[in-house]
Amino acid sequence: MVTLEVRKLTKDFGGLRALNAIDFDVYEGEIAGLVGPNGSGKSTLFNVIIGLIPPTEGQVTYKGELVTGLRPDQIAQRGIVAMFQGNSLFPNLTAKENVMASMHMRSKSDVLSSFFSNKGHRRKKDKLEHKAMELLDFVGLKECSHVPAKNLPHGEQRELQIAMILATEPGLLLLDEPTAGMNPEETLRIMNLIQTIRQMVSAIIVVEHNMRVIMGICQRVTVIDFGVKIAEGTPSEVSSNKEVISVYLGKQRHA
Amino acid sequence: MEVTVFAQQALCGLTNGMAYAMFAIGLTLIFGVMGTLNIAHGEIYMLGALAFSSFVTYLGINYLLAALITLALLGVAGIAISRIAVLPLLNSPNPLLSVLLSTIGVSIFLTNIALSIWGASTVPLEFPLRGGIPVGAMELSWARIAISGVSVVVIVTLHLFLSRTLMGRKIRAVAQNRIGARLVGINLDREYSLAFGIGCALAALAGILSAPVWVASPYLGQSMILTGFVVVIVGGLGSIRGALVVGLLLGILQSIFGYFLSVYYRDAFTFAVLIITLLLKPGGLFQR
Amino acid sequence: MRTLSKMRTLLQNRWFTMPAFCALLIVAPLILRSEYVIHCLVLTFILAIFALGYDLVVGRTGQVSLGHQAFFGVGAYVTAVLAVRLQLSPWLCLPACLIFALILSVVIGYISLRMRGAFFAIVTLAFAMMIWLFVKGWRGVTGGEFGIVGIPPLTISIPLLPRITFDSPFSFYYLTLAFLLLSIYCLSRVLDSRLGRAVAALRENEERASTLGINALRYYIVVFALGGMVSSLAGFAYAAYMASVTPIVLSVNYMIKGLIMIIVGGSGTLGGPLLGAFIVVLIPELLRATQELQLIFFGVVLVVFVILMPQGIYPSLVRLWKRKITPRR
Repeated sequence: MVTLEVRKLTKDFGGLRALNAIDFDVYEGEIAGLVGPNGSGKSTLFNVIIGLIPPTEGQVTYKGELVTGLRPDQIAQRGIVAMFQGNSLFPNLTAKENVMASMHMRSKSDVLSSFFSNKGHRRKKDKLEHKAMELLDFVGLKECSHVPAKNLPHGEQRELQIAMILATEPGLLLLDEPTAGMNPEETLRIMNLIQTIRQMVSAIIVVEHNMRVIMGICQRVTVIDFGVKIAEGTPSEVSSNKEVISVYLGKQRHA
Repeated sequence: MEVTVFAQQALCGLTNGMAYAMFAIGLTLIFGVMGTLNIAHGEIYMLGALAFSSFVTYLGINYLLAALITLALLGVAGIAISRIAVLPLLNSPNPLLSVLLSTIGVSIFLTNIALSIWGASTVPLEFPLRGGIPVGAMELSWARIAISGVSVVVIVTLHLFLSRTLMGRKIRAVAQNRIGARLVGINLDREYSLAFGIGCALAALAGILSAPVWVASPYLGQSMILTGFVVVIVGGLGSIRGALVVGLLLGILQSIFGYFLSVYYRDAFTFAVLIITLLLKPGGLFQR
Repeated sequence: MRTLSKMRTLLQNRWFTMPAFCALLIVAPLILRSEYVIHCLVLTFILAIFALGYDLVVGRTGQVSLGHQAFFGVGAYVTAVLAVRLQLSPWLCLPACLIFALILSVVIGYISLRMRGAFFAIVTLAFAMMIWLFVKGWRGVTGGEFGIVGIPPLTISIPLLPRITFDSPFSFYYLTLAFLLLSIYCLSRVLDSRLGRAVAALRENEERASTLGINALRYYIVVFALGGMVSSLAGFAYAAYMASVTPIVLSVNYMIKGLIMIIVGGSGTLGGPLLGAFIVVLIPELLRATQELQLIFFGVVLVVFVILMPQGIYPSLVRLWKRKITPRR
C-alpha cells in the first residue's frame, strides 16, 4: 500500500532547477531513506512535501489524497509531520508547553468550556497535561518539563522534538538528519527510537548523510543528486550501485 | 476640463512630487541599508522646512546659507538619532518593531520641541524671485523652477556618490546583503550612521524645497510620513528608483485629483493606492 | 517581627492578593474625597481597557499595529451616532459597538494579517487613517471636525429600586472598573485555552507552529478581532462618559498613548496595560506642565524604555514582589 506518492516533482528557483521530475514512493509500514550529497535537492524535496515550498510542477499524493500546494498547517492536519534540524522548538515555552502546543491538532477547541465550565475545563486541561507528561517521560525528559526549551542542552532539545512530533499522532513522519552532530552512542539510541516509533506511524522518511544509519534502519533507499533520482532499492542494492559509489566517492568526506 | 488648467496642475504636482521623491529616497535608503523604518523622518522634514523658513524670514540669512546650515544641522541630528535610538536596537530580538517604536518616540519628541519653539502656527516664507516664465497660457514660477533644478542636481549627486565613491559603494554593498553583512559580524556602525544621516539630510532638503510653495507648521511631519510610506512601499522598499518614480507620479496624480475632490477624499485615495498595491504586488513596482 | 512574617504569608497566597487588590479598587472612591482624582481614575480604566485590547495584538502576535486606535474611535463613534442620530437606547449601543468592531477587525485583519513587520504596521496605519479621514469628511452623520455632542446618559431601571443614572465620575468609576475586570477575566480565560496555546506557539515560532497544524492566519485574525472588540468597549465607555465624541479618538494621538502604555507598562501581560494606563494618566498630573512638554517627556520615555527596558515595568515589578514576599531558600 502506497502511503506517499511523489510524481514528476519539479522545483525551479529562478534559473536553478533544484528538483527535476522526481518520482518517489513510500510504502505503508516502512522506513524509507533519502540520501544525496549536499545540494542534491534533499531539503527542497523535504520542504515541498511538508508544504513550506510550492512545487513548480508535479504532484504529491498522500494516502490517495492530492496534497500538492496545500498550506503547511493543512498538510500537517492530514498527518504529514516533520522534525527539522534547527529552529523547530518554541524557545521561551517550557518543555511541557512545547508538547502541549504540539497537541493542538489532536485536541478540540475549549474556549467555551474555559468560560462556562470551570471544573470541566480544569479536567480537560489536566488530561492534556497528563498526556504531555507521558510523552516527556517516554523520551526521558520528565524532570525537565518546566525548563524553557532554549535552556535545554542540544541532545535533550532533540528528544523534546521527538516528543512533540509524537504528540501530533503523525501518519507520515519526516526526519531531517536526526543523527546530525551525534556521537556513535547517541546515534544508536536514536536509531532504536526510530524503530520503536515505526510501530506507531504509517511510514517514516529519513533524510540522512550517515550511511550507517540508513543501512541500519531503512527498508528502501532513494538516492538523488542534482535534483534527479539516480538509484532506488534496498540498502544493499543501493550501496553496491556503481553510480552511487562514484557520486559519493567524489563528493562525500566521511561515511 | 481645460488643457491649460490640467497642465498647470500637473506641473504643480511635478514639483510637489520632487519633494515626495526626495523624502522617499531618504526613507528607502535607510530601509535598504538598515532594514528599519524611520518614523521620525517626517519630523526631520518638518524641521527642515521650519528652520530654513525661520533663518530666512526671521534672521535675514540669505537663502543658500540658510539651506546649507539647515542641511548640516539636520544631517548631524540624523546621525545622532541613529547612534542613540536606532543602532543599539539592531541586535535586539525584533529590531524592526523596536526601531519603529523608538523612532515613534523620537517623532513625538521632535514634534513637540517644534511646537514649543514655533507654536502651532505657520512660518511664512517669501521667495525672492516672484513671477516666472510664461509658457503658452501658463506660468512656470521661478520658485518651482528652482526646486526642480535643485532636485535634479541632488539626485544626480546622490547617484554619483553611491556608485563612484568608496563610502557610497560600501553603503550599497551593505544594502545588497544586509543579513550577510550583519552575520559576518563586521562593525558597520559608520556605514549605518552615514546612511541614516544622508537619509535625514534628504528629508530636510525635501522640507527646504517645500517651504516656498507650502505652509510650514509643526504638524507637517505627520502627513508627510504617511505619504512617504505610500511612495516607498509602492515603489518597493529599498529601491531608490522606485521612490523617485512613484514620488513624482504621486505628486502629479494628487494634484490632478485634488482639483476635483475634497482634501479628505484625496488623501483617502492615497491610502487606497497603498492597500491595493500591498494586495496585488506587495514587493512594490520596482523590487530590488 | 511575627506580624511581618504573617503578613508575608498572606501576601504570598495569590488567592489573597488579587481579591485584596480588587477590594481596594472597589472601596477607593469611598475613601477618596476628590472628585477630580476619581475622574482621573475613570480615564485610567478606560485607557487601560483600550491598551488591553491593543496589547492583545502587539503583545500576543508580536506584530506592531499602528492602527488600533481605529477600534477605540469606532466604538466611540458608533455609540455616539446610534445614540444621538438614531436615538437608540445607550445600552443597546454596547452590543452594536462590539459587533461593528468584530466585522471591521475581521475585514482589516483578513487583509493585513497576511503581511508581517513593516508592511503590517503601515497597512494598519493606512486603514486607520482612512477611517479617520472618512469620519472627518462625512459631516452629515459624524459631525465632521466637530464631532457629536449630547449623548444621553446610561441608566439602569430595576423595578422597585431607585433608578441609577451614570452621569458622574463616581458612578462611572464603578462601571468602567467592572468593564475592566470583566475584560481581564475574559481574556485570561481565552488565553488559558487551546487558542491561547496556539497563539503563544505562533508568536514563538510561526513556521514551526504551522507545520504542527496551526493555521496562522485564522488564529491571528481571532486575536486581532478580540483586541478590536475589547478596545471598542473602551470607546463605548469613553463616549458614554464624555457624552460627546470628536475625531481625535480616531487619531494617532491615541495610537501613541496606546503604544506608550504597552511598552512602559509591560507587553504580553494582563497587568501591564493597566500599569501603563496609570503612568500615562498620572505623570501628566504630577508634571503639571504644558501639553508639549509632557509629550516631549513621553517621547523620551518611550525611546528609553524600548532600548533599556523593552519588557516594561510590570514583569520587573512581579519579580520584585516575588522576591520580597517569598522567603529565601
